[in-house]
Amino acid sequence: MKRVVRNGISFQYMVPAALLVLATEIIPVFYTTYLGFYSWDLITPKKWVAFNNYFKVFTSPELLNAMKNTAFWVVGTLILAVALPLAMAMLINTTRAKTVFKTIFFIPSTLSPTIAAIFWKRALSSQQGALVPILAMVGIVVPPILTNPHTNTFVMIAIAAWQYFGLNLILFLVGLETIPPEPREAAMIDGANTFQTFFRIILPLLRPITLLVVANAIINTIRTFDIPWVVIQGGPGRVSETLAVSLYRESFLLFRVGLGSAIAVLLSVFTLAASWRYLTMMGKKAHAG
Amino acid sequence: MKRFLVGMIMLSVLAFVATAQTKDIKILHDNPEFQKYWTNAGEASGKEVGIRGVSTNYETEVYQTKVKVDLTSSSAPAVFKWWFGFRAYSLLKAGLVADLGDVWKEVGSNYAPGIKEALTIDGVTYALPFNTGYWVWYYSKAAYAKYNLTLPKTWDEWMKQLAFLKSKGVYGIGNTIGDSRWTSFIVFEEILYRLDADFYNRLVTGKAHYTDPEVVKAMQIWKDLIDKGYMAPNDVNYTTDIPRMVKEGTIAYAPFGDWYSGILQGQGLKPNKDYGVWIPPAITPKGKGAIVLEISPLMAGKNSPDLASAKKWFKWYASSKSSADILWKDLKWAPSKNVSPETISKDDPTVTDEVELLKAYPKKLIRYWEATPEEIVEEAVAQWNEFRGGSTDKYMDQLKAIEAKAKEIWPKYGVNNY
Repeated sequence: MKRVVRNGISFQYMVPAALLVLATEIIPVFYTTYLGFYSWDLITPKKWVAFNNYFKVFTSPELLNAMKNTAFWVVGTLILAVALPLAMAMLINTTRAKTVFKTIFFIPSTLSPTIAAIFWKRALSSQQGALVPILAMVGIVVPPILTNPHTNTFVMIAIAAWQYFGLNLILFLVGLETIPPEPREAAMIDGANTFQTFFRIILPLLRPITLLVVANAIINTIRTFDIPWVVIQGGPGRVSETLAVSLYRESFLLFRVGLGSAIAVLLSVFTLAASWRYLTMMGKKAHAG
Repeated sequence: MKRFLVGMIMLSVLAFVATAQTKDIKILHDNPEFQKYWTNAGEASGKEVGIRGVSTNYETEVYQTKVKVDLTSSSAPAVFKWWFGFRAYSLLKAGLVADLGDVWKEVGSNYAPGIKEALTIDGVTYALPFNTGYWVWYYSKAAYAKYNLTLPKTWDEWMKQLAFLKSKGVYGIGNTIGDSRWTSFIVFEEILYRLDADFYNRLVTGKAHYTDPEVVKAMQIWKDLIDKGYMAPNDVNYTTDIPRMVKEGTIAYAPFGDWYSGILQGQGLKPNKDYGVWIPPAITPKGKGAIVLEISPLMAGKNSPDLASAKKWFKWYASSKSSADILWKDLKWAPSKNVSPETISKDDPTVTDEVELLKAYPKKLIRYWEATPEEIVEEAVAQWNEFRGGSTDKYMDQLKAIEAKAKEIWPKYGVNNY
């Protein structure tokens, strides 16, 4: 700090960025937290309601359902977009066609979540979707799975996983390429089987990449909005809402800005808590190892 | 050469003065598919009365927030499209909407009787109509021709027809929730007022309850339609899939406001060739003679710095022949009397058929979307979305949830003994 203060030029370069962060992130965070203590519909004066909005997030059936859906998204993404790419990376790492696989799986990652949602919404349409003629050849009629409350959340999680699979696959492949062959060879000499080698040798050495992939997956899926919104607006009704969709609906459709702000604050706290816990846990394991 | 230069300079000055005398006013709307109309109307009003409408459209959810925020500031739009009835009530109560009673005094004769009253709350006439639409049912000429059908005269006859169509692989009713949550109230409304039109009015004004037998009966009829497979799949889109399926004959009927004729034509369907218009029969005698009306209002922001110009624009909009012609040509709407019946009949014969049909339906009911407080509508739409999504067995729980919301909300609107 003394060096910074002495070096006034460095400080001057930092000020514009700091002001931008202050104006676009810090101040909105405080203002949103403040709004969470009020009932406000944008056109009438704000009414102080203390912690009512924050309590409502944990007592409203719709918002509890949104929390449950968000938890499904996190678990589903960890399985489909983290565990599966890791398994795939292990399978293709030593093959000659690795580059081909990388390219094919990476293509969906170049799409925005909105485009991915629009693409799959049309492809899965029961009327003119791309799957209709393909499945018709084997006598299967495509049902409207995206409007079915029992299936649509899982289908949307699969869409998100399809999108992130490639990027996570590449990250794991990069991680595997950095692991020296000697520990693996030593384990084989000592009689370790494939599973033991993977869990005792490879996985611990992959920790830095795993940390990155899991933290990214958790942070991104806790905030999931694009896919559930574009596909079905969190419906039918509010059945497939995630917390981010609930935030949007309460604030901009139902004009309960105070409740929407409370959801936004709690969503940020959940994201911070989930990623912080993971980071400190992995950090401790790294030091212990 | 000198005279030529002088002439050019004079022409430039005149053009500059003319342009400088044209006042631009801000117009907001939430229908990108209508932008062509707004651009044409804005230019025409600029030329005729010197008030040019500069319009911007937003997607509906963003639009409501945008308008509400702007109305509270000096950026309030001069003219904006909104929804009438209870949907306008919150803006009126907050004092954000201009009283257009003085405009109506000058131009009211351009509209049918009753329209002004429908757009008046607590003595304030807050809008002019952008569209006045009746809720009718469009039917597929292809399906009718293929299966040699005739328009049913009773509800039972219609149910038999729907069963027959189902057996032939045709979806009876084009009502879905895939792209549009709001559409989930339509079939409920259509059934309820055909059971008892007076009860419908009592329900939407807080004098009846969502757990009353009439509502339960309506839900049971609706459940029956769904369970028997008469409804189109939930994921079809009403602006593209349903028109295509009506043209193909794979959907037989589609219930919408008569503004839907413009959407059907926009998708390439020809009126009275690919589709016709019909009004289903009542279920009981208490439902006879009733029809749902929807008015899409244009309003003026009270805080707009261009309010005086907005009122001048409204006078042009209501009384000018070119205004009516542009609205008819671009959107096939004729809320005023300024489009001739001959033109209407030539361009869209289903409108003429509709006018003839409506003679038997003198009882006008306000569409559910605007007829009851929006907080109750939002809860109802959410519950009915779940109902349409497959939870048809839970209709009593869904009605109880709507009833609980109604109990919470009605006192805000002065109904204290709900």
